[in-house]
Amino acid sequence: MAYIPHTAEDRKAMLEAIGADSLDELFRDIPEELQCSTTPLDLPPHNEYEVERYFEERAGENRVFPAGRNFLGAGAYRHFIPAAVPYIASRGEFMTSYTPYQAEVSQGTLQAIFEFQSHICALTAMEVANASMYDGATALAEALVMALRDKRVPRVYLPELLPPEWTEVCRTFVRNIGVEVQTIPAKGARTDFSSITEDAAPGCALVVCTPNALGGVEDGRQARAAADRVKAHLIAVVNPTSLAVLAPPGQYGADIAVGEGQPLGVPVSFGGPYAGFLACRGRLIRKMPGRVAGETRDPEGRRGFVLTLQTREQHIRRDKATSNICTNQGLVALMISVYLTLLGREGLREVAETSLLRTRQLASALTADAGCELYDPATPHFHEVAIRLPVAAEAFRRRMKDEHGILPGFPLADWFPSLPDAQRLLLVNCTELISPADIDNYRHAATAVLEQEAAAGRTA
Amino acid sequence: MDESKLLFTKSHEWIEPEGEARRCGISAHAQEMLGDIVFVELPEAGRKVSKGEEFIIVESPKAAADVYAPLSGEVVEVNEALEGDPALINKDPYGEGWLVKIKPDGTSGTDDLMDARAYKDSLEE
Repeated sequence: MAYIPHTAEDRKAMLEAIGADSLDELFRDIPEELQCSTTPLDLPPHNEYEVERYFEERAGENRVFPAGRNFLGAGAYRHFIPAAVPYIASRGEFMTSYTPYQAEVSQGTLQAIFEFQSHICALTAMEVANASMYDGATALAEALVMALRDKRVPRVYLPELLPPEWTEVCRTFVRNIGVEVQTIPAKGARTDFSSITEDAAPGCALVVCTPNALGGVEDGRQARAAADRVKAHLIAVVNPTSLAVLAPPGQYGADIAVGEGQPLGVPVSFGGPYAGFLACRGRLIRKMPGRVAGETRDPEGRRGFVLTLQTREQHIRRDKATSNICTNQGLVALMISVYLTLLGREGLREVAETSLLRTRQLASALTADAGCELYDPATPHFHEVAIRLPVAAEAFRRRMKDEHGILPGFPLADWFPSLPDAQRLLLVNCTELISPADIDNYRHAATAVLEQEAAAGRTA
Repeated sequence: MDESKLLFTKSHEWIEPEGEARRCGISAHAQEMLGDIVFVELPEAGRKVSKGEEFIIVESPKAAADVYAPLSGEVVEVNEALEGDPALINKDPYGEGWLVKIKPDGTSGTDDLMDARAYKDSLEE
């Protein structure tokens, strides 16, 4: 069979449909000097070694902060990754296999997906999970579309305290399908669900993000009640590590739970690859994006795995597919499965408890004698907390980094410029990789920086 | 249900020719082409549909097919037995395997629908 993607007539019809006269017109946004059709690629002649050396040198310009000096979280979290995780994930059978087209011959891949789904269900206390999504933000956006498909009411409620990148991804997904996005305002480091009254317009989804972008832990039952007031599905955005110590979404009646799987055995890298997860009530399984691997028996009674529910995917349903995802984030989902299998329930709980404890210790150290305050002392936090500094957070961050070799946290003005005292707010995160000695280092460095800033008259 | 009394669409739905609330479903030929039906996504009772609108999805292990409304009107009842046993559509497409009852609103005609004989002929073409 010849593979001819489009004929000249196809191309003409497509160009007509979008109102372009020619391919050149379609590509005119690309500056002419970058178009290979007009300018031939002029690559400098370098041999393999020279190229390798060039990139080594560029990589050498990166400044790598050791785990004990990195307090940056804000969506990506460093945790200890047992050596078995990259070892298993880099085995050729897993690493080189693409999405299973003839699914049932790929029993190993299907089993890995099945185990991933089982882990996610156990963590979230939801009835069913899919085979994974591209990342957390797209998992949330897909959950919104899924809720819309079920309720057919084109309005969603997003919390102000959702990480702004996630909000942006969600807006991009719903922009052209006529969905109105409403914001649930924050009160301190918590979402004010009481602001969603009986009079609020009905919606298809209401989102609770817990812990939220300020580190605050939300009350899932209040979110559930608010969702009920607008007859919407409750979508919970959760940090998976936190579920070892916080109530899982299934317990407070979430209809869909999503999150970023990176904290579970996946290194922080420059934006990915990460993997999102999506779980829901059994009743909603046919509205779910992506696919599900199922466990079954063959005619001889042997345990086997099948790819099920892919009938709603794009290669079969075309424009009526539940989503544009037609696969899953297989390798990263495998890393997550291996990580959770190695740690087990107890191990994950220890990770979560230690992370929480260290964050509390750091917050206490900073508020005790460094002149800092918690942004919202009344709201509980998990492993991340917003601190109000006596000086500008950006200046503090720069001096901590340049003079003390510590990444002290994330200046929140980048995310929420209109919060009270936004310029002085810093989001700090500790995981189990931070030791009490690391916290002492931070405190000493912070005290020195704050004294210098005060001496220079730069105290806010 | 007596097959010979039903009206058929080109897209393989059937509907009762008369009555306040008329049953409709998919033809024996349609269920045979789909194979074992494992799930049916039915609309909610009360939903208004226009003739030709996709309002039901019938799913087999390897395909999911749309069912189009054979007439305009209101869905007044859905076959809840299908939730537990979607294979009823395979076993008895004109009887226990009915999908929904539609109360026609009189805005769409039946002239383009076929009787059982014409439908059978159309399959042989």
